[in-house]
Amino acid sequence: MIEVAELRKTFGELTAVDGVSFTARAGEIFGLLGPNGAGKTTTISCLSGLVAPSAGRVTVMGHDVVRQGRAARAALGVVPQEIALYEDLSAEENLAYWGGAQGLRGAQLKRAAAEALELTGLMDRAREPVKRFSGGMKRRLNFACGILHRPKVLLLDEPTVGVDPQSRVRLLDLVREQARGGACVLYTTHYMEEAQSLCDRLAVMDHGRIIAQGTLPQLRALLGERDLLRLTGVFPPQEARAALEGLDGIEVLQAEASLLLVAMPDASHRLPGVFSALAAAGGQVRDVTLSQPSLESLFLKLTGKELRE
Amino acid sequence: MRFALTSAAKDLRRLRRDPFALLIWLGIPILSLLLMNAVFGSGGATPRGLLLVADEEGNLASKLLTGAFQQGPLANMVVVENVDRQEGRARLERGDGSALLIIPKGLWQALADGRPYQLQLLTNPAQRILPGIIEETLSITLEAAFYLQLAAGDQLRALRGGQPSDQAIAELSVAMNRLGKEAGDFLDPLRMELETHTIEERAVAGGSFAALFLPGMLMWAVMFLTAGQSGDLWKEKAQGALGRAVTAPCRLEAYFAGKLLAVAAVLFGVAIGALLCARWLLRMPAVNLLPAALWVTLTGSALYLLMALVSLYAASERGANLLTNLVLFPLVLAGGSFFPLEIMPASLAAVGRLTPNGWATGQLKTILAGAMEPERLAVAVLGVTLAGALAFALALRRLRRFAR
Repeated sequence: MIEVAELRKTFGELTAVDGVSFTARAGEIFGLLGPNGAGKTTTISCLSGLVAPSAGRVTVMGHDVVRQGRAARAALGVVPQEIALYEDLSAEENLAYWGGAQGLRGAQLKRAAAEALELTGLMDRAREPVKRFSGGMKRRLNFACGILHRPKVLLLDEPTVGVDPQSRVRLLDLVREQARGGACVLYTTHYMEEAQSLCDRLAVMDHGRIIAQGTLPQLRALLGERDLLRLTGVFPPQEARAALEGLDGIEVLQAEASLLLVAMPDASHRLPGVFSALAAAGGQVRDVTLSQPSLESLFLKLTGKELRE
Repeated sequence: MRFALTSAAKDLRRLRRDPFALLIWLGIPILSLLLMNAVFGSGGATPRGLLLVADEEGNLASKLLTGAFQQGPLANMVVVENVDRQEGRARLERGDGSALLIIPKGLWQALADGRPYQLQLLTNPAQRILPGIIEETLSITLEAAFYLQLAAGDQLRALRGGQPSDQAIAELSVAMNRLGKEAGDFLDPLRMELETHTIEERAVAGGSFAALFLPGMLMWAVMFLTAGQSGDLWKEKAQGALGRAVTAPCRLEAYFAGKLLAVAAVLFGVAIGALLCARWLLRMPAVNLLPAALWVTLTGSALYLLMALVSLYAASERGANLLTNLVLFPLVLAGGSFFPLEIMPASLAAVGRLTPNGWATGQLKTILAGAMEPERLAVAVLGVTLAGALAFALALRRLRRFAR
């Protein structure tokens, strides 16, 4: 399992990770969700030993990653964001090399490589140079290189970036299989849907801090039973905000000249009231979208900005 | 250690998949050697120089002077051609000739009167060896004339005025004969003896220009190879493989040692290939091919570590290329890898011998000639190994930060 306590990492003046704490257990998929630059990759880098923490404590299977680095790394499987493969070598040769780096030898290595190829559906292309693979196949091989030694803790840093939908589904299934097999999986992503469908527990990160964490129902509860209303058109921001906040139970999350984001209970029945208030404030509505509470709306509520910004 | 071998095997496989780079590395010394051989021949070409003579004296004395260049082995090396002063200057300026000797009027008179006299020798700055030989020969001839003047000054004075009469020649002959007899005790047998030793053939790595160029060319290929391979660290960083290696339980020392082993294996292959080609194709009478190849491997590995260290301190992959080239090219040029130190000006050659590749090339020539003493070789090997170990430690220290 993974235990992170008050992790802090600075690069000169920049604080990339600021007091992050969480625990991930065996058999669980723990997600780190946040926009690009939130500090997810730095957190994973501190866990994997690639970057030394500036402060705080990180343990993997009880081993401190700084003081007992080798023991901690022996329990880890890492699937980096970039495709860390040798393109001139075949899939088989890549697996043999990375298996060797994990300490596998001889028959054990051969068996593990064959299993990883089978699992990722690359057995029939095992002897081809990786440079001939599609992006999705490279991603799967990248994943295979991280799991062939059956790690107890698996760190996945945005493993589905740039992958076609079919390969993405396959990769997510592979991640679930690892968790079912008892591995503790730490999964970073900025895809909200992925986090919602895959993770048992989540931490939402922004500007190097965890702004919320828990299971998906726990996080949804933070928003209350409120819908998210997204209105586009032409609005005087101050007047529109004041007019909407005058209505009962409405929270204005974002107010701009062309966009209003509003959290409110029972939004579908209260739309006429919202339109009247905006018209009285001099606004003009062109389009309305109503959605159920989600991680997106939670992120919006917590940070005042959309996750995809 | 096992992962070092795995890492080396991985790099060798990657190199094998890029045969173009291997061909270039192996091709540089072999192609250059073949070209040199085609241009200069394998049997050791004898240089021939052209001495232009503007003989304004035009008598026996001046003919004796220029005749010195047409005696013995010098006759095969220097062709004497009579020209007038202006034509001689014009031809020398065009580079047509090794030197121009101007013999102004008054040589005989000066010899007879014991007065100072000045010859003019203009040399071609584009040539070094032949003008030097001409200058040396001329200086010896003038020295002989000085002693002749001391010994037979009276007779020479009798001959002044240009064409001597038969009587004067007869008197000079008698005088010279007498002088010869008086000096006989010293000259026959000579009181001084010159003991000449011919250096055994094995002490010379080869008689051809190709053999002269081979060690430098080989070191040139080694330097290109090591500079190219040092850039591989940047490639591995860019593709994330280095970062992944750092997160694995394998030691970074083993990863880097594997890269060094792969480079050493390629260096050995290039060295032994080039030396065997030189031996078979160019009939280079070199001995100690295996020790020579091992020496190239050892020094090349140390150079790789130096290049890797330089590369690791760059701010980007492009910067690393620039930085290694900034180190590489001056070393190639100054260290005798392009032009052998033997044909460089002495001062430049002295500097070149101090460069790592210049020094290594010098030792390689000695090994190939079979003239390396075991103790000296052991000290050299120890020195290179220690320097390599230091560079390895420094590069490894930097690599830990570089990977992050």
